[in-house]
Amino acid sequence: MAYSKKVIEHYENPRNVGTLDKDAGDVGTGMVGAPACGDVMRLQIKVGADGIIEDARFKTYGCGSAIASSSLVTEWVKGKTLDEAMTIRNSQIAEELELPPVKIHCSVLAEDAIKAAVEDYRSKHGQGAQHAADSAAAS
Amino acid sequence: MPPALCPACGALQPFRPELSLFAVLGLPEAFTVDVALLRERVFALQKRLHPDRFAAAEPATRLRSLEWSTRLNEALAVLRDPLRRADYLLQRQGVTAMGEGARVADTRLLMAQMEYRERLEDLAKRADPAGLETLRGEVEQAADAVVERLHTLLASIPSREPEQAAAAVRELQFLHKLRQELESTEEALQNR
Repeated sequence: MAYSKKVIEHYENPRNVGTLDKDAGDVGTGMVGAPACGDVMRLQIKVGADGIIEDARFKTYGCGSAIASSSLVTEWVKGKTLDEAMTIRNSQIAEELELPPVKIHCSVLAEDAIKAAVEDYRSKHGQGAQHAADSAAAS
Repeated sequence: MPPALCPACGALQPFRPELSLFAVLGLPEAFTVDVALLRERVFALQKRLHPDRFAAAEPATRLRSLEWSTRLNEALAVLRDPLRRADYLLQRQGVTAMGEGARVADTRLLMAQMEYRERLEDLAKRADPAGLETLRGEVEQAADAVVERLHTLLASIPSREPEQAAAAVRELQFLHKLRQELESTEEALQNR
């Protein structure tokens, strides 16, 4: 199956590969996997005191589409609020990367991963918004 | 007598697509399967109803023979493999464990998978066959442990803990994929 140019571009030059400290208070980690293809995806966000995602990292073992989907999402979430990040839909990822129907599930994985990362961050703080307000008050 | 053959005269019976893969072999529906016995049953039945035996028969009989024979092959393929067998038993009770859309969010499982993958990547990079062998042993042990768990979760059919059984099937599927990658990595190293 032929990958689109955009998938190949992300696959050959993945953005933001790596790890953030999952135990740090300002980091949220999302992990998801697809047993059918054996894909495992980890997506992490670092959230500033103002509630804006200032950094994102990913590590994905899987096919080119799964790697491209997670790479793209790390680019997209930077500079977004948590609520904005939660609105990312797999259909947007699939459209941007021109994924064929059989690879749509890779984009679903990336959507799940970012949601899981936001939820992990929020669970560390009760509520993300609350944390941002506290941090702002403290500074 | 298995349902493909008449108990009195041994004649080939009309195909019954509704029968389970266990029922076509006259075996009880269970996760615990004696694979040697399974194989023996399939081969003994194939001898009596294989299309080669009915080459000169009329078309309706030839079709019957083909349908039963195909079903027997399917039964052997599915029931000999713990992963496919467990998935099949769950399907029978309406639970979809595997499938393209299945996703897993179990952090413990995914962390372990991530770690295996990182080690595999590293060992492949360093071209370390001994390390790969060790890793393969660990993955096989992990898979055996999941199969052990499935024996408990599927001790009664239908399972009383279908969701946990489905989770175990997905974990086994991950380990199975991993082993395939390990094997192709080992092969690639050997062929260098």
